[in-house]
Amino acid sequence: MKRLIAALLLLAILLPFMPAGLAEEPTTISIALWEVDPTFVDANDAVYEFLCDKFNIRIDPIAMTWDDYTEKVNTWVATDDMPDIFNIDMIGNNMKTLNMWVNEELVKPLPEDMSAYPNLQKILSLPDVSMTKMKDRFWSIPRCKADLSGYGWVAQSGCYYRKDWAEQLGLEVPTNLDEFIEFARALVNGDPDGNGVNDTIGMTSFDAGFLVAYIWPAIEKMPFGTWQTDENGDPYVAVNAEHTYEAALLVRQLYNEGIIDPDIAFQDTDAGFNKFASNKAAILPFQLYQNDHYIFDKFSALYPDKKLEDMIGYLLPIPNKYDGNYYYTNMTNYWSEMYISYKVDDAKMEKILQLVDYCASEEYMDIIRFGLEGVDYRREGDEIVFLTEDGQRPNLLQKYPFLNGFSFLSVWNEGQMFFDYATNYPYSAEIINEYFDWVSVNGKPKVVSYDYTMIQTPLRDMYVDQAQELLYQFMFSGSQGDPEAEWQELQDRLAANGLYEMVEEVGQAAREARGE
Amino acid sequence: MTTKASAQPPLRRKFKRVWNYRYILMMVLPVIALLIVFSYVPMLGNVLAFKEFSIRRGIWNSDWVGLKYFRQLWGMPQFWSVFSNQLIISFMKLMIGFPYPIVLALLINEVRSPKIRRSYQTAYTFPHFLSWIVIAGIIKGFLADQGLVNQMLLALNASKHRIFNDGDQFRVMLYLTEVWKEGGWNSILYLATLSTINPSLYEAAEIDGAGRWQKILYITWPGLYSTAAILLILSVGNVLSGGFDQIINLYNSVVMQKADIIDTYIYRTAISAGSNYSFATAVGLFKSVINVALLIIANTAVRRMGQEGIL
Repeated sequence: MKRLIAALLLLAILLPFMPAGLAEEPTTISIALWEVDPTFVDANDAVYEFLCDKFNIRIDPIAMTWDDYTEKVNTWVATDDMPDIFNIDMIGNNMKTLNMWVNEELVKPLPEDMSAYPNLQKILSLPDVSMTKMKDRFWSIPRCKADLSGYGWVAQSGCYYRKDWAEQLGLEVPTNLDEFIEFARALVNGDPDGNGVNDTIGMTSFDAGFLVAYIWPAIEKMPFGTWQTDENGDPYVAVNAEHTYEAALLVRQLYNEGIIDPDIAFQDTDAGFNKFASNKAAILPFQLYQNDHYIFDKFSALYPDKKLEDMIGYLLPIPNKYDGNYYYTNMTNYWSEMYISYKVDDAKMEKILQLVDYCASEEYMDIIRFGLEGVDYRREGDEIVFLTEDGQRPNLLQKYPFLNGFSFLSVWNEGQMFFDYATNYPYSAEIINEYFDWVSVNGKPKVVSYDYTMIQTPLRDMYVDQAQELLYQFMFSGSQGDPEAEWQELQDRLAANGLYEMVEEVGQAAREARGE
Repeated sequence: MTTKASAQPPLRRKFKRVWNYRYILMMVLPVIALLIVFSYVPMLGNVLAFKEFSIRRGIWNSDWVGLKYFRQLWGMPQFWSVFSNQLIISFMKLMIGFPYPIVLALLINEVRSPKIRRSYQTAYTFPHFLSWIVIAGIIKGFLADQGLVNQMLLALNASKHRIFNDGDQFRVMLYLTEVWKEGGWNSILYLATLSTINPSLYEAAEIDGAGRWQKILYITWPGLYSTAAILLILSVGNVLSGGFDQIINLYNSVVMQKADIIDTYIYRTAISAGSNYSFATAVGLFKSVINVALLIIANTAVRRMGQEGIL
């Protein structure tokens, strides 16, 4: 009897704890993503808590920056110390290493049946994404634009300029290459900041790549060093296409004349934005979206009394000198991929896929755009009614810091910019909408072939691509020497580096793959 | 007649000597441990140069591939370009960087006021304690297009210099900034050696009518000579290793063809690319073998000149 009473008492003590004891512990998922800050993951953040409750997970954010992510990811993999999820652009960029990861199964393949994850299945069924299969399996989740209409990268090669300076000097917005050069030259020589010193930089940017991407298609529709297909169906690399030399020469001349920022090849990535905002540079080729931090915050802080729309304007693409087309950036639907560590067990894998699938859903996109339904907004038919006092969209990035980093966990959410771009600056959204409306109708994609992305051959494996550094040396060294001789030297170096043998081998592999 | 000690068996005698010096030997132990852990154990990893590295299987279980990566290395045009950059940059750094601390030490030694001498010494030594990433930021701030130097040149109606865009000027900048950063620190050993020279030699020379230059030539320099010889051997033996921190923080695509050295090449091929670990190890091993060869040559040369070597 005493034993029975003791057992009952023990049961009575343990009973209140039983539900908690039986409940499944949340799964912690470590995620390495660009520029995520540990402070983004906060128990007081309602969006984060919503996701945690929905999937019974916790997130352990692993920081990596745009400057160091490649080194960090490679070091994690080499030392067998990778997070559960890590992100990097390997496909088309570093296939040799990706092959190694796949051959050694350092990353986990996705299940063959993805029907439980409809949003991911939709992404994986896109023609260019389905090409990323290796050994008939998907080894990553390519990160697509949320907008899959084919216009996702339209605003990638945009261009801002100092509208107030141009108006002050009485300059018209340029409509062709010659006008653009004159426009830039007038801004450089017109002392628009009025400091009495001829020190205005014409064009600067985040890096030389953005700057070249804006000017180049005004002459050559094929970006330098990209894969192309000739009339016989064979591949070649656009290092010496019909107008390549002329495009490179133009950039070189603009650089030597002082129109392009002399420091463009080596300055820190933030320096260009600072020069643009601090009255040092007049034109800034850059993507037109997600620029609150890079551009609009800086202008707002420096010139609180001025209107952004009076100071900042945007330029349309420069029409190509030969065919008159307005070329915009052409890329695959995806850029970069999400990889899952081989150490992740099946149960955790399921949770990860559920989370990633949800973050690619329309429902999650609505959270990014409007906040939490019932808390930040309600729907009245097709209309969104914000529940703030003034009826305006709340500052979601401030209210839910989680969205600062994790809004693009599964897809690049700036694809949503065409409808409701979550920015603190309505003028920024206005610019992008106008630009998109015009370029998506009047523009054409730059000419690039992605058919050879996944082909790996022994020579391609060993090939070290020097095309960009040789081009930059030609354009940005300030050389006053004979450009034709220097261009020939560049071509000779590319040839000596084994470019043409490698391309021939890739062509052979492509023919074999086609069964020829 | 034999002493008591010599009557002991040799092993016991040795043990007793060790025991007598036990405290001194204990002080050396951490240094030995440091060398073993950070210098000798990692050397075992060099075996990777002869293997096809598999991350899952680890270094020891990876397959042997013989000299595959060395053959690949010797057949790559980029490698020889990098190798020649390394030789040119290192040689020039040696040419400028080796005599500079000696001259600096001699000059500081000639300053009479101890306070001013210490101030100079501190000012010259301080840059050594700044990391290259900090110094790179300062240098870019000074030498960029809108940096201090170009603004001063403009004010003087001179034309601007684009040092970061010109391979040759970039190399000169590498030599000078290296000397500026390390010259003061490297002169410490010479200053320590100078302090060991017997002052009575200078007094005697003065009585014999020797001037300042003659005292430097006939007393100071002979006192420094053997230290300089040892430091020269060490510098030559390190000629293919220097400059990674400096160059990785300062170079860019435009000057890459003239500034890429072996260590930056290894970093890009292994760490940035995320594969090629065996290839990068082969490059590193090749570099070390050349370094050892240069060390032996320098040591032999110095010994033939009548000085003590380090081997």
